[in-house]
Formats: sequence, structure tokens, C-alpha cells
Amino acid sequence: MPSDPEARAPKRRLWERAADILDLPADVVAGLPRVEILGCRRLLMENHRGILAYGGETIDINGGQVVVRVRGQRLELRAMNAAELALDGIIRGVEFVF
Amino acid sequence: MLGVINYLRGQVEVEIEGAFPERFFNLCSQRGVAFWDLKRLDDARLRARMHLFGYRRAQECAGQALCTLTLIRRRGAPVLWRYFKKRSALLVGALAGVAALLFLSRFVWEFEVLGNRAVESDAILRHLAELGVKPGVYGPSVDIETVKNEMLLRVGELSWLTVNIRGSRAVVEVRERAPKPEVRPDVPCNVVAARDGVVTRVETLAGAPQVAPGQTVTRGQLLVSGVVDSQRVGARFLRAQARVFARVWYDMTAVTPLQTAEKHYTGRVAKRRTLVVAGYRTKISVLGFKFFKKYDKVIKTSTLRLPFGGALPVSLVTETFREYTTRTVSRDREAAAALLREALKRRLAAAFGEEGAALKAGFFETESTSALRVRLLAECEEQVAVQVPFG
Repeated sequence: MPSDPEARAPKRRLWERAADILDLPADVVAGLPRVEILGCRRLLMENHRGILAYGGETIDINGGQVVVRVRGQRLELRAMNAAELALDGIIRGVEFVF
Repeated sequence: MLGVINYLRGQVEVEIEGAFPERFFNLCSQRGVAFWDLKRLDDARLRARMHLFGYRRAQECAGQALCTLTLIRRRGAPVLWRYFKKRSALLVGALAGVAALLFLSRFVWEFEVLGNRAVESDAILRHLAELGVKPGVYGPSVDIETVKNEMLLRVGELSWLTVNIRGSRAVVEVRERAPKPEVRPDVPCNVVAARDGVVTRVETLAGAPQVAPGQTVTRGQLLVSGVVDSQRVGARFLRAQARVFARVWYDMTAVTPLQTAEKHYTGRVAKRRTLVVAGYRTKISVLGFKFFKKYDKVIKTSTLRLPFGGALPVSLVTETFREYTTRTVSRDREAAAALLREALKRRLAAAFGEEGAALKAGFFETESTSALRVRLLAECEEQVAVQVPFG
């Protein structure tokens, strides 16, 4: 049976829908991860839930309902605390894995 | 900036080893242990930096994540402080050093004089030293107002003076009095001859010329008169101005002895070294130069300087005494004659001045028993006019 990406996408939570309806920022209301990429050299992420895999070419970050997979070269975790993290390196791609 | 803050707060570099080091970092971030500069060394080992105060909590996290945490090194201000707390003497020494530096920097060691042209810097410094402002003086004790007043009285050529003391350096700024302008007295005068001669050229700028080229004049003779008489205006008194050239003759003689005393160094040399620290002299070596009958003395002063050029109040004075004896030698006649001829030429050039020129010159040498005599007879053309006021 062919996999349907729509079917694999997780259901939107109540908070997310509420944020959409009330026109409020979802990262603040629903706690969704906010990813900011500066060129191809730095990635900043807020509302993360921790690192799942760490390597020089791939870093998987838990974003709650989604895993943010950063691919690249010489990737390095610059700094991290409970809410934010910063990655440095040459970023080739960012993928969301459900 | 962040680096400075991290340094002040203190940081540790740690190595994490375990099957899932990521779990350790997740635990750390959840418990508020911030870390940075995470580097993977190999599959199971990572290296990171964290705050010194978060290290204990990180150790608990490592235990829960089944990782081993190894401290690589500590650095930062708290580490340094702990190091110095145990070594109180070092701290006291450093503080004493700073205190000594602050205290000693209030003494003036270096002087600089600015703004002087005619008055020598040394003369100004000598007068200042007499007033007590010399190397080694305690800066705050100098009463600049008094020094200023005293100095202006002592050195008449100065119109203004101030002493700016900045740390161990004093800058003496002076302004010199403007010289009194030469006021040309506009009194009527004549132009007369300064020497005997035969007039060759008369250039009259003001007045009535009384001589013509080819005429012989004697010293003091009127060349251009300051009295101009005309039918319409009558007699006027002018300041006569003229340049009158004349052929003049010089007869000069120079004598030199043919026997002369010559220095002959015996090769005996004595040195005396004196260390001068802030004006206080300390003899380092005393040698028997006083047994020399005749000696040349050469004084060399070497001042200790900082790499960027500032002079320190420490100098080494080396006096070298070279003994010599004198003996009488006969001089080479030709060399002596050449010297005399040169001297006579210089005297002649000084006599006829910049505007004159020698037309003919001849040297005549005569030799007596002990001396050589050279006579110069020269014919020159020179400016002979000088202004003389009436009366």
C-alpha cells in the first residue's frame, strides 16, 4: 500500500487550531518549535525538546510532534539550554520527520 | 563580550563518554545547565564547555544518562582567585608592587623643554634645578606658581613659562620674549668711505654723489652727501644711501713657529666609572689617574632608556684618562706654509665681505730661525660705503 504523506501527517492539536482561529503566533500559544536559519551557517531553534541524535553531518532535534533533521557538514552544537539551541556548520538541508 | 562574561563566571571543559551522550545533553538542558562549543571526538565521546557552577548538576545528569563525565580543565576568574587565595604572599606582593608603582610614579624623572629657540634647554633646566625642580623631585611638592615667577625673573628672555607634571614626566613649556625690533632712526646722514681705495662703481640710491669712478678716496671721505640743494625746493636733508665699490689693498701677515710641542700618548689609560641615580653619584671604580702628569679626559655619559625612548634617571658616567707626554718636533715647512696661506685667505675673505672679490693676491714667505712668516698682499674690490649721521 503506497504511503500517503497526508495520511502520515499528525493531527493538529487543539491549541494549534485555536491559535490559527484566533490569529495568534503558534509558537507562543501552542509551543511549536520555531526554527530560524541564518544563511547556511547557523540554525537557531526555540521550543525544542532535546537532541535525539548528534553527529557532524546529521543532527536530529526533537520538536515535539516533529523531528527536525539538520543535514550538513561540520555541524556543531554551539549552545543549548532548556528552550533554545544554536547550531553552527554548513547546513545543506532541514527536514521534518513525522 | 560573552567570552569575557564566561571567563568571569568561570567555565569547565568536560568530556562525555557513553552510548547515548545526547541524553546527557537533553537532561542538562532540562535542568538548566547551559553548555556550548560541543564537539564530537568520536562515536561515543563528546567534548563541551559549561559554567563552573553547573558542573555538579551535570555530574548528576551524567549518572542518570549512564555517561561518564571527565573534567578536562577549569579556567576563568574563580579558578584564578582560588589559586591566589592560597598564595597570599603573591597577592600581597602584587598589591605592594602596584602601590609602589603608584607612589614612585609621582616622582619626576624626566624633563622636557618645549617652545624655546634662543634660550638653551640646559640653561632652563639648570635654573629649574636651582629652584629645586630637578630629577627625583616629588611631583605634588612643586609649587608651580612660585617656580613660574622665579623663573621669569631669573631668565629675562622668557615671557611665559609653565611646568606640566604628568606622572613621572615634566614638560616645561616656555615662550620667549619677542626681540625688540630694530628701529631705523630716520635721521639724515652722509655716506663716507670706510677704507682707502680707488672708486670703481657708484650706485646712489639717495643723496648727491660726490665722487666718480677712477677717483681715489681716503678713509672717512664724503662719498654721497645727505644735503641736496635744488633751486625750486631749497636745501633738503636726506638719509643718503649708496653702494660704492672701490679697489682696495690689503697687507696681512701670519706667523707660526717651526718648532712645536706634540702630544704623544704613552698608552696608559685609566677609567673611572660613576653611577648616577637620580642625581646621586656613586663611584664604582677609583683609579690612579692622578699619577698622570698630563692627561686628556674624555667623559661619556650613557643613560638607561626604556625601549620606547623614555629616559630613566640612571646613567653611567665613564671618564677616560689618557696619559700623554709632550715633545718638541720640527714641523714640515711646506705644510706649515700651506696652513698659514689658508688662514690668510680666510682672513682676507672676511675682510672684503660678501660683496667683495679678490682681484690679485700674492704670498711672500720669509723664514727666521724658529718661525715662518707669510705675508699676503692682495688687491680687492669691495663695498666701501658706510652711513654716518650728520654732525
